Amino acid sequence: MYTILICDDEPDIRAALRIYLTGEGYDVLEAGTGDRALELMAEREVHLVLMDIMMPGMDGMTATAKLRETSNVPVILITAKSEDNDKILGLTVGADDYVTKPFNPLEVLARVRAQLRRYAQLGGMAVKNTALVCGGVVMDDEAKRVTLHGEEIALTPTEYDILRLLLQNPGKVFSSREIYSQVWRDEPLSAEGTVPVHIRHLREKLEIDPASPRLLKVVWGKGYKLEDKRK
Amino acid sequence: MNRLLNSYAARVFAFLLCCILGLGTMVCALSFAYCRYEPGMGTGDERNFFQSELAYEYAQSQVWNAMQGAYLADRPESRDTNSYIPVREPEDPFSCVIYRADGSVAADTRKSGSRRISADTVFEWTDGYTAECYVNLPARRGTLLYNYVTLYDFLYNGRDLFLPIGMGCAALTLLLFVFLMAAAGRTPEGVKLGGFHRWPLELYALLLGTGAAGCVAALLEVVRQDISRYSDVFAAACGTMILGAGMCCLLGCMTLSARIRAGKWWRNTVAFFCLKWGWRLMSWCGRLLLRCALRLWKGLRGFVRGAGRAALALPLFWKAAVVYGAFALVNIILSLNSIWNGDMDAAVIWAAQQLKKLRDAGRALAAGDLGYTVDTARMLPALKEHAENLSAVRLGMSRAVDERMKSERFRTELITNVSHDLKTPLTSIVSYVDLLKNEPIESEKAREYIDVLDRQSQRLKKLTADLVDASKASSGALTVNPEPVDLGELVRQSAGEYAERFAAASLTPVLGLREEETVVTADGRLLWRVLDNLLTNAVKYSLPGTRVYLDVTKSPGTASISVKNISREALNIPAEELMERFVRGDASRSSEGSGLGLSIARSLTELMGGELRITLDGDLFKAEILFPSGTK
Repeated sequence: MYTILICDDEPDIRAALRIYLTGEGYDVLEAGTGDRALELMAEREVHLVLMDIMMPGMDGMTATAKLRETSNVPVILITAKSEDNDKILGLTVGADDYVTKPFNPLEVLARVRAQLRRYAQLGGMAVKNTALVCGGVVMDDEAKRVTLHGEEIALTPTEYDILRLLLQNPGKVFSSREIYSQVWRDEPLSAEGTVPVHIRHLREKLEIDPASPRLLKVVWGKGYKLEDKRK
Repeated sequence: MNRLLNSYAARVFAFLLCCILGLGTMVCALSFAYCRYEPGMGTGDERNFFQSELAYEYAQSQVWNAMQGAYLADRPESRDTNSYIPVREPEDPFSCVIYRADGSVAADTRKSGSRRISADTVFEWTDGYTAECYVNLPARRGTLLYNYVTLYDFLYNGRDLFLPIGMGCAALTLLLFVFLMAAAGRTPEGVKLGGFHRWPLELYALLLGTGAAGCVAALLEVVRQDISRYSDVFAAACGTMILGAGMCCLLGCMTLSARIRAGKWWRNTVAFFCLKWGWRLMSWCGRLLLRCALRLWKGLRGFVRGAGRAALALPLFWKAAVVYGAFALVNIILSLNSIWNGDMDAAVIWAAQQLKKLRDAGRALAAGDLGYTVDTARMLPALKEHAENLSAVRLGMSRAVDERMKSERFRTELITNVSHDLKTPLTSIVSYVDLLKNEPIESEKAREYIDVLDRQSQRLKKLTADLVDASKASSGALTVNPEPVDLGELVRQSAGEYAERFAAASLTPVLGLREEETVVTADGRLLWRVLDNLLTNAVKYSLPGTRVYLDVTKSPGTASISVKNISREALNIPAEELMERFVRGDASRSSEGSGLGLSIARSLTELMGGELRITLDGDLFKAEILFPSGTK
């Protein structure tokens, strides 16, 4: 049984999130301000924090930074700001993920689940030395198995090959042609148009919101890369 | 007394009397003086006229000829040497006796009753001859001698009376003179000038002076004409003349007195008049001159200013022509060919230097460098003005740009803040609509309504996001990270992203890509959003079953991506208008979408230095994203 702390100054949003989270079987604590959230953190055992950024008094960023001084529980920021700078700043001060308002409740639930799994299994699961790891993705090339936060995901052979190429070179940008020539081992006679489609499918399987990928990123006009920002 | 003073007749009478008495006084005075000092008067022989100087002189002059004649008659040998002396008979009643050196009588013209003139009147010649003069008295009437003798007798007889009579006359004359002086110009109402007194003093004085002078001159003439004729007529003439002169003098004295007593006598003088009018004339002339000078000065100043202004207002060409002409003139005058050329070259170089400055400033301004300033020191006035105009334009522009930027920033900030504030309630709405959807609701209608709420809240969500994007894109608040972008790869990626959506809309994407890379400098992420918007539109508005063409082309200087699709509905809107905010292809706005897509796409493209071109050809909708490309 996990306990989740919701920190938001809007009671309606807190109530809605409580409904969703209790429906999933989580215990929920609520805080209206950053100060109150820090107090609750000190009193109770909390496994995950949903933190709104814009709050009266201590804001979400500051609260996250303070919280990180004593705890390493996953923090998901809820932000109305869709600017990239805010996301990057949020991740820098110690947040693990973020959702932007107006959020899709199901997306929030998915991110909560993913973060909890990662948090719970961190260190718990033995990872083979030969395994390729990036973010929550672990690829066991010998067993031809891919897990995301410990859950196995089914990939087509092409998707698997593309993912392996990217996992082998994390952070490196591959263009469609390069991916095609390396995966298909063939000259890309205008057939490389299919690569983006495969990538798209792969992203749908790996990402909670494929439109704003956290892991398998699109470098527009250049190619694709696998990157874990948190590292 | 007053009546007497005011009486005109009394005045005339007094005047005449005064004159006559004055004359009398004068005669008396002269006579007295003559009697007093004439030697003949004081001798024992009181009736001896011939003792008088007067008689002697006269006799001498008369006798001489007679004596000379007689002498020469006796001395014919000396005639030659004295031939120039006319020989006349001595005038009656004179006669003479001439003695030779030995004392014998040479000639004797004496008549009976001749009296010798003054015993010591003996004439001597150098050769020893002597002569004695004689006269016969009484003289015949009408002769000069007669007149002399009569005058002498008169003087002699009255010799004791002249003094008292003269004194009396003088006293009376003085009295009358004083009276006349007091009465002159007098009227019962006081001193009032009239008649001659009104004449200008000098004019009157001139008149009187002329009169007096005429009289004196006439007197002198009379006396000179014939000194030897002391007749009654002569005396009367002399008296009249003297009287006239005296009258004139008296009149002058009277008018002077009247004028002085009337006060400010100098006012009625020609000199004063001349001085007055001269002064007036002079002051008027002075004023006129001053005014003229002032006007001239003003005019000159105005002219100089006007000329200066006109010179400044002259077109640069003409100014240059004038300067050039001046140089040429100097050249012609001084014939300084070499210096002239050097000067002109220097001037041309100098002007060119300044023109270059201006050109640089203009170029900087055109390029949007609003911080560029022109150094106007030591610039030609015309060019300086130009430079100042340029900087004024620059200031105006930068002010306008600043204003615009400020207002754009403000607007963007406002929109961003508002949309942030909208997002919180929107989150609640989306969440609770979702919760409602999961509730077991029996009513079919309620479910239907919840679906509407769901759809519209999703649309609102998209709209707020687009709104922020649009305002940011149009105000340039977005940060652009320009880097090399391969348009071909981008199109492939975009097509991959849209693969499912194309399929769902029954559309077939056709990629027309180039074999090699087509690299432009742009922000890939923003470019994707442009293409995202275009493809969203293509999916939304294309006729199902048609193809969507995605092409990458390159021509010298430009590289472009084009999206072509067949519209489902007839597009009755000009292409330009489609890119305006909130304009959508269907006038009813019934379909989903914010109407901001193309506007955002265009703003973003322009933000990256590209151009979004939309053409409509019937139902064919073509959007082109053009970028300037390098050599590659």
